[in-house]
Order: sequence, then structure tokens, then C-alpha cells
Amino acid sequence: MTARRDWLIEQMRQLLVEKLEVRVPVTEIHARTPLFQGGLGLNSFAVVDLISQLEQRFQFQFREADFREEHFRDLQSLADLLESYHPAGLMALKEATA
Amino acid sequence: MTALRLWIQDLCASSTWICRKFREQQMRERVAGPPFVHLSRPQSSQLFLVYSGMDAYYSGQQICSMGLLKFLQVSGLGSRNLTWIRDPFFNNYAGGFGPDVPDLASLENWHRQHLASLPHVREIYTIGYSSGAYGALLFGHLLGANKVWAFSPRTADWETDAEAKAALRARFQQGNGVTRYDVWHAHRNRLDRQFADTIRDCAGVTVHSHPKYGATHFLLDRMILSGEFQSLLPGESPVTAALSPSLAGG
Repeated sequence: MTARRDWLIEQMRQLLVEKLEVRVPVTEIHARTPLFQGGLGLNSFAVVDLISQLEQRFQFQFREADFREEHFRDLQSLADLLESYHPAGLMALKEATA
Repeated sequence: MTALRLWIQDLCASSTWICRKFREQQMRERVAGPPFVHLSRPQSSQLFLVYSGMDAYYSGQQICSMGLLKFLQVSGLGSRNLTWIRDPFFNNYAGGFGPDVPDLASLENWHRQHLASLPHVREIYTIGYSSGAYGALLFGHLLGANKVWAFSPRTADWETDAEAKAALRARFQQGNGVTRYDVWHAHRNRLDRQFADTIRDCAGVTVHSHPKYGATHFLLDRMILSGEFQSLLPGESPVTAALSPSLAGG
């Protein structure tokens, strides 16, 4: 994994715990931990909350066509999707928050 | 599989008092998390307020029986300002959100503050399904929304069903002079039609008895999957005034 990918996943782990109040210790949230059943157990409402938080934190907007469960399976798949939006912008954000 | 799932859910939605109480208990156990979520779309001047119904809780806090992700993907609303609002106490929004927003008056005030926080919004629409339809009708009326879509309307509590409908009718009889209300029910769903009938003759209300889909309570699912719902929506309305770069997404 790239440094940017690691950073993105770490940002999302923090977001899940701090903003969405996921009741799972941050140390137990990994890149491949399912967001839905069998993992964090997010419900549909929480996923939209996650979408809203991601858009605010990373300053972008999801395309409608990307609201697909396979993109929201886990943090790894979400990081893949986020990187497809504006990797340069994400890198700049990473540097700004370093 | 989708048809079978909808059939089973229809069966549950029209079952006996015992089943209803069992379902309500399950729903109460599922309530957690924020009372609303908002997706901001600074380029759009339209705001859609979407109200969740009790069956949505039963199936995992969704709109109709469809996951919110799927709804965002196929409804045509993912590119417009969207706020999902829940009724965490299952009493037709009369309990507000909790200690900070404890009743209907404060929830109405919360709505007005929310609208004030979105200065780029020029058009307001409300949508609800099942007991969420009650919320869509109520707040569409109170806020003077441009339009309301209420699908398969019900109240959230059978024990106060008659009072809640009467209270809504009393408000609607006063009218707000602005809002148009489209109430949809499947033509053979007796309970949904009975609700629609309580406000059928009020100003601005049009009741649509959908000729397909028999007695389903899940009319919104069917209309989304068939594309009928999307055809009801107004065209997208971009913000015309110049926005700051941060609001416009950089």
C-alpha cells in the first residue's frame, strides 16, 4: 500500500470513531473490516452519514453512479474510490494536515 | 428474489396486532445514531427533505425497503441537497429528536434553522414513505414546501392513529396557499387509501391511486425500480448566483 492509501485509511478510521461513534475500538478497525454486517455493522443511515463526513473532510462530491455497495464494502474499497476522485487533491490535503 | 422479498414485507406490513407490536419492539431496538443526516450539494438550489418511516427502521433504517446507497444511486436525488430525518420516538415526529429538540414546535424551529443554514436553497421538496409520509406532509405544510410526495401514507402509532390523522387534517384545512401535495397509494391497499382519504379534499392535495402493484405498501420501491418516481421529480436547478470557491467544491 502507498503512504497516501495508509493515510486515507487512517483518516477514515478516525472519522468512524470520532464522528460516527462506531462502537468498535479503533484498533479493531482494519482496511478489510466490513462496514456492514459481520464487521462494524453500519446501517443504511450511518452510511449516508459516512458519505457526508467523507465529502466534508476530503472536499469532494461523490458521483451518483458511485453509490454502490461494492465501493462501501470496507475502508480498502472506499480508499480505492476516493483515490479515483482527485489523488492530487488528497495528497495536498495529506501534506496540509501533516 | 426482489418480488418475493417485497411480498413478504407486504405481508408483515399488514399483519395482526401481535405482529405489529413485535415489529415495533424490533424497531425500537434498532434506533441509534443521529436523528438526521445531510448531504450538501452547493451547486444545487433544491433541497429534498426525506422522512423515514417505521418500516424503514424494520428493514434497517432505509427508505422504503431499499438501502439508502441504492436509493442515492437510482433515485436521481444524489446530486441535490438531501436531508434524511428520522422519527426516533415513533410518534409522528411529535417527540422531536430528543432533549435538545423535544417536541414538534422545536422540531419545526430546527427545520427553519436548517433551511437558514442553506442560503443557496431556493426550492424545498419533502418526500416520505409510510409513516415518513406523515412527516413529509406535516413539514411540507409547515415549511410551505414547493411540493410534497407522500407514498403509502400511515401514522407511526396505531393507538393514536385517529388523533394523528385528525390533527393533520385540521392543519390542512387551514391551508398554506403554496404547497402542492401528491399522495400515492397502491389501488388495493385499504389502509394507505384510508389515510389518503382523510386529506383528499384539502387544498393542494391530489391523491393518486396507482393502478399497478395490487395492495403493496411498498409502492415507492416499485415506482423507483420502474423509473416512475424519477419521472415525478423536477429537473435539476443549479445555483445561479456565484458561490465562493469553498462552497462550489474548490
